[in-house]
Amino acid sequence: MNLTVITYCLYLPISIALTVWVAKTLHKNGRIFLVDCFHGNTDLADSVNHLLVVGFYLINLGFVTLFLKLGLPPINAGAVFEELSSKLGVVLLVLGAMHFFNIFLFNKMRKRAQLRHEPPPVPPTAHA
Amino acid sequence: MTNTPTTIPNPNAPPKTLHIFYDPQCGLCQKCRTWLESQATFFPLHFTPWDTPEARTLCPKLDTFEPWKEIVVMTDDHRIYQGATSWVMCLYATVKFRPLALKLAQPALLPFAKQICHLVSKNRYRLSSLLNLTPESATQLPHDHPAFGACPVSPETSTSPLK
Repeated sequence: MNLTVITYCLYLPISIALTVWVAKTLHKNGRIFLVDCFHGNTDLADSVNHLLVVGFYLINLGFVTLFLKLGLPPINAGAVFEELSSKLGVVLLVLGAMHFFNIFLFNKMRKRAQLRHEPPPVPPTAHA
Repeated sequence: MTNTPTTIPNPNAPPKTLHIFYDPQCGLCQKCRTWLESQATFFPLHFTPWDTPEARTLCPKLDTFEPWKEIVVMTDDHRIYQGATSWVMCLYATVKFRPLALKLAQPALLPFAKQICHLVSKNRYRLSSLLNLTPESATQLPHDHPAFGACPVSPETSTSPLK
């Protein structure tokens, strides 16, 4: 087993584990936002939550696999860690961006749902 | 709908419908009506020319609010909004522009909105003529009507639309 394969063997499980961890956090904590958006309709909230998480997995795992290829094969153990940290750093940044994008989506949906129940913003001039 | 309610309605309750008493002799008002009708709304909007018997049936006290000066809107529970607040309520009714209505209703912006609405209402016939907007009717008002004279349509030209 050469150093390139060792890097791959370390990169893939760590990246996948990180993706699963972020997705599970989103799934767990995003649910309450969605239940609020859909006025307590938990079935619909769970369905949308699941669809969002599936999209999250597809995008992130797609990125992780595409980003696997190393430019130059590492020549020693130090280079393995350097390559690994730069790869995982980018993966973490992408996961962070996706995570914030999901929070943004949850919040936007929640705000839109709240807008429907906003009281009139101005008091009446008179009563007829 | 025609009965006057005995209790004051809750001002925080979202209305179920909104009656808009607009000026049928104003091209700009007609354009605004068409625009509002094309918008998706949270509750139905009913447009009634202010000078019709139907408007009096819906709101018997309508003349006391002088609807010929500034647009009047009335909710299903007889809350009356006039001028800038009526525009805010019309925007509040729309799905797309409700956030704008909420922004306009803020204390920092409402005075400006009131000034602009007042200016537009005052010069609506001039604006209609400048923008070449044709009103749906330019019928002559009775001479004893309180709005007579508030409208630039003179008795001689009242049968032709404003240019």
